[in-house]
Amino acid sequence: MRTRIFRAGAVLLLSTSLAVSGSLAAQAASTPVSGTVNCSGTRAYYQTVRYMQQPSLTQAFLSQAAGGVHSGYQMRIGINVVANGAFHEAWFQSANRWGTIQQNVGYVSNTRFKMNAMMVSPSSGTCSNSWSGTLHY
Amino acid sequence: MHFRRHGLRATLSLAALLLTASCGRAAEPAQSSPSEMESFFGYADMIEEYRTTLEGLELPEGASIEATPSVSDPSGSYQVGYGEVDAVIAWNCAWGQEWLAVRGTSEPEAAHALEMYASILETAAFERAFDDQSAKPVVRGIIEKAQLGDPSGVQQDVAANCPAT
Repeated sequence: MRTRIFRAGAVLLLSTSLAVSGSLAAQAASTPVSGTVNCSGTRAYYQTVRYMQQPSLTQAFLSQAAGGVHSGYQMRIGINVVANGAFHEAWFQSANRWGTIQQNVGYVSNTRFKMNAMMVSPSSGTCSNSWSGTLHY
Repeated sequence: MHFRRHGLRATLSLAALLLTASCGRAAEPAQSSPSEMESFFGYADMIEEYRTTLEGLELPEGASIEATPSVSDPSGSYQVGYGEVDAVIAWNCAWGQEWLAVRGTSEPEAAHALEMYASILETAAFERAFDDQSAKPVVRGIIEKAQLGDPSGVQQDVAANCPAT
């Protein structure tokens, strides 16, 4: 979808459905995630609070990347830990790739985090600012 | 900066006002149902939202909360409500720490602290922004354990999710 970016930001499509891949708290949760970013390349921070279910590993699969024909479709998708602002991210060269956002950093179960995302390169002209994928955490 | 007490009712009213105000900021045409849409604003507005929310919250006597959220990216765009959520989390942390400090020493103070800690469940931020599957059940479970006299959930929550005091 082609959209025009505004100075203040963009629209986030919050995922409301979430499937937990197992009944044990120690197992990773998996949820569809989607949103929009700024075509200017600045980072968008999302308000949804999640709790790590598998604190040793946070990964994402990017199904649809934001970007433009000239600037490409590379994205960074990250998390920030609410308590201390610790920041982790994965770099996606295109859609249909896995990325590891953090691994074995030392977090414990039920650590709070939020997500953020950005296009790696600012887009000149028309760009698609929507992205979607799956978060495993 | 130090934030002090008012009432939870004022906080909830403030949250409603912020939410109402945010409705005028939608920056993009609808791509899905209105309930899934949110708008964004800049760093200064996010900080203002954080501070305004804190000003409407009752804090424990002597408690001190950071004047800004932990994320500080002046060039970023923040979903409207981001600062409010961080303020509510900071407020909840303060009451969790207060409950752990006073339980066993002052029953009335402990009861009040736990009541305030548990009142996160009544906030718009919790209802709107805490993930249904991974976050809300955890918070509710911690509170239920605490109300039964088990502090272990609050201890773990404070240790993992709150700034050191």
